Amino acid sequence: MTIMTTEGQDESKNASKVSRRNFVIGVGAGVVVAAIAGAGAESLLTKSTSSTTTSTVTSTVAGPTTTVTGPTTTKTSTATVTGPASTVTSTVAGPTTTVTGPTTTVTSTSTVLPPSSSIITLNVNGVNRTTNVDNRWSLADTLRYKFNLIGTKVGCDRGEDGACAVLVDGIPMLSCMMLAVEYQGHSITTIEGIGTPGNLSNVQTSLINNDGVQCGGCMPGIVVVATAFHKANPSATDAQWRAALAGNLCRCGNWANILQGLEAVKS
Amino acid sequence: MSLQGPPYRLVGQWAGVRLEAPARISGQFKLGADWNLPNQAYLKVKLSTIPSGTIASMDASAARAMPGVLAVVTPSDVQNNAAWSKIKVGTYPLLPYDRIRHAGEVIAAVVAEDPYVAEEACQAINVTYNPSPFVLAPEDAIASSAPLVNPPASNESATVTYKFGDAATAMTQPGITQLSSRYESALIQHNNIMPHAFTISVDTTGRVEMYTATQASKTHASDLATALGVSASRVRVYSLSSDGGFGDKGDAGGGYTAFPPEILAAILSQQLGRPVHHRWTHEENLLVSLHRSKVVFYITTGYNSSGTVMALTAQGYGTGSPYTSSSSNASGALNNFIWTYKFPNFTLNGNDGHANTYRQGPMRNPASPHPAWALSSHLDMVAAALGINPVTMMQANNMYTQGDKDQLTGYRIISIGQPDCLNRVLTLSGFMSKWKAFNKSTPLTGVVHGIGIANHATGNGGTAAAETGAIMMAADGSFNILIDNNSVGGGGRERNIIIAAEALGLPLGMVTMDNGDTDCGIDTGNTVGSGATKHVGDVIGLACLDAKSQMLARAATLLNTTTDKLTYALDGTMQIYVTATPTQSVTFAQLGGYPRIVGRGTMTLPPSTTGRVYNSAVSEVDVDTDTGLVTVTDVYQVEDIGQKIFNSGCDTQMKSGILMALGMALQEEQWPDVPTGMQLMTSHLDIKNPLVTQMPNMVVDFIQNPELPPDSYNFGAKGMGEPPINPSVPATANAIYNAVGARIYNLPMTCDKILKALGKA
Repeated sequence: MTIMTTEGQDESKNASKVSRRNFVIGVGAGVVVAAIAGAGAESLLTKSTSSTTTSTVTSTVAGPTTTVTGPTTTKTSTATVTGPASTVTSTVAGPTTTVTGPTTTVTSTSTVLPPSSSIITLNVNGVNRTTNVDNRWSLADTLRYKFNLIGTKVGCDRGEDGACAVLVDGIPMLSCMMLAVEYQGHSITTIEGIGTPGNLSNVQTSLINNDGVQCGGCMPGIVVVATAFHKANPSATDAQWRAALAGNLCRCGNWANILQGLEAVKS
Repeated sequence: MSLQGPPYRLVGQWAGVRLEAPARISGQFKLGADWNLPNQAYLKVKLSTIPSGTIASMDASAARAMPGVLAVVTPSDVQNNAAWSKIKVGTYPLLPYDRIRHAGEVIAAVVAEDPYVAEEACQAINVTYNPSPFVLAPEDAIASSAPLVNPPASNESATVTYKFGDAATAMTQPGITQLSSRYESALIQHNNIMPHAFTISVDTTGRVEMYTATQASKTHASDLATALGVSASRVRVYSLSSDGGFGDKGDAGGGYTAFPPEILAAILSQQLGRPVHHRWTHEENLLVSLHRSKVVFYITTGYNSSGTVMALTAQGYGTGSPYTSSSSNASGALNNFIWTYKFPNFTLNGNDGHANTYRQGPMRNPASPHPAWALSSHLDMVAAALGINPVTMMQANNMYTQGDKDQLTGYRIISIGQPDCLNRVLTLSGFMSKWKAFNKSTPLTGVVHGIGIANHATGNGGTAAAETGAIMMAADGSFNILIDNNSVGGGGRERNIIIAAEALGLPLGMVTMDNGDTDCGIDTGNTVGSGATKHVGDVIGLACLDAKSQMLARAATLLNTTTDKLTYALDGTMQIYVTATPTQSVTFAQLGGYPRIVGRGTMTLPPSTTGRVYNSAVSEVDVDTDTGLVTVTDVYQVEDIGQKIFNSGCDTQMKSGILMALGMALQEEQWPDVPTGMQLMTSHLDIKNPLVTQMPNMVVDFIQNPELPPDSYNFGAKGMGEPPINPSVPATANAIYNAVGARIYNLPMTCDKILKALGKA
């Protein structure tokens, strides 16, 4: 009989693994720094207060750089302003400040964010979408929680099951392992951009016609991967399809019908 | 009035696209994590990093001070709160303020504005523990010297004894040879792709709404009501799907379906005045949620020279959850030993003990695949010892056949298809011509091929349940099934709609089952896969019969005649006409006025009756004798299902069950690190579901022998979704033996074990 005990155990001694979230947090900081450096300090809104209170700063700005000093408080913020004029760096004071410049007027609403947050613009399914995210946020969570694109599923949240696959510039990637702040300037295609219930793609149509869908948790990821693979390999064999989908898990185990459906896809 | 017989329009015939498939394949069918409410906050939990002990200190001050953190709940908060300390989720406290009973137990919760902040706050909670001795293994748990999991109570969680004849005496009779072996199954998890997730909102009136993915929305509602001290009718649980439940989304253990984080979320939602959203990680799912128990079986058979087992004794040991017992334990599994063959003498004992392992509960056919593997492996070894074909061995024993009663209870068995399954799988596989006994003189080099066979009978899916259901006619003559029964994704919704549409003579599109909403459906118990075919299907059939009666009576009034002179069209034309003069008719829409026609059905259990589902499988494998790698090349499997309702659904359930069985047989296991009790296997990479690259050639077929009233009102179907996991595990084990002449006595049968058995490791 084996009865084990441990003595003097505390959490730090058991924390032998670096969690995926810790990993992302660490990488996230690095990525943000890289993003700032790469973008010339364009993409980060910082605030000097530690308060979590969200206050809206509405700025009508014109010209490349405008500094306005308010009567009582000084806040420094760097904001990305969407629109044609590009980035504006503002030192603003007071809750609402309107500054008029000589040539162009751009209106934006920005939010005072927690530390290490960014306002980002992602091109998703051909549409530019702007939001503010904690820099640690994965692309998958950003798509789901910020843009309500729930078709991208999050299963393992650590790049193992393929459910969260999206196309980035046409290449399947696992959005749970990608930081949203890294993917500005890329073309992101989610399952919603491939086919909708009323307008299914040829891959989706073939899969449902061959009864390839059970619970549906894995299916968006499989469709995303299969769509890219079929485009590159329109006459793929059974073995090639299996190899292509080896990174997708399906616990319902409906692979027989999934393969049948994929091999029957009409271009 | 009774349901019509064949030929059917839809039953076993319909071949359309699954009703939810377009939405599911587009990701737009709302799974548990897809429900987001305005202004929701986010819950994250902190898990214990010791298997047993107490919390020496927990400092949550840093977490509470974090910007964006809205609430932190610790065990001492629960202990010091008069209301919270009384809450039990089943036998679980809201948070374990007395002692920790397993690694991965939820010990604190944080709600924050942002899920990442909530997670960071959980990490900022500093905990020190007073660890105490722990016990993990099944046989150790009930030893007198074992550390107590729930002191001062004994660790014993369940015991069972099945005794028939006199096994001890039969075992020692002349001409009897004994064979004894120990078999150990693995602790495994459902390994769903979608983890548990929910959003809970409690408004100022105390109305509780939960959006989730569960197989048990009604019991979830009652659990929440009990914990929160409100009436169950004030709780609405909305669950369109179970996201691939396999049992994991059906029960939290101990008869409860809610988990402590769900109760915590409801409490905090009430306090914050905001919805609370939670999505577990897969790692949390593996640690906090349910598991199939590890069970150890000691089996002894006494057999004669023909291969007839004259005596069977078995002792099983299982690990119960730290808090509750489980149907997948030895006490639940042992009767699987005596449902395929009528052994003349047997004594079976099961002893389960609480251990510091994980929460255990239902997983696809909870009590069956591991005893199926153990007994069929053992019988295969008897055949090998005698040098006879395993089918000869099967035929030398008294297999249950149609008309037999259960030899232990005397209960009538509704239908028995084991011999038919065996005969059919022999034909499909060509087993008798392929099988050759393992030749010990053949050197084991390179890749060798083997073939194995197994039978198994299970209780899941075979027995009806006492339930009530209803179906309501709309103004246009269409119907809505008023039953709360979530769609688990395996085709249950299609099955239910086919039953109703066939029974009422409707086009398929004229029946709807917007289920999964506790405000709108009658509680027919948990949606536990194959069982729902019986307990939901039967009451739908009965409700349809009741509705037809009412429709005929209303039509007779409108047509100024009597019901016996009317014909109810079952061809989808939706009309009732005078038999002698068919032009005199009413449409269903004409019957759709007020008061609405509501058909009601209540299933009554036939006394002293039981039901079972039978399976036979043949598996073929290639074994690489240099690496131990097993490749399953072919599986042939046949199930006795009564009557096919949804053709493609039956086919996919069989094949998916085979794949899940191969995972259980070859590669899935979750077991803590023995020295520390900590879980080392926390990801899909550690516990790998079978991949598409591992899918063998699969040939499946069904024995259809429809069950009849009063045993069945669903056109004779048995529940068929769970049992396909059972026979392929032992058939694969037997195929490996046939290939290499080595028996693997521990699941899963991994490369290292095979190499060790071959003396190569």
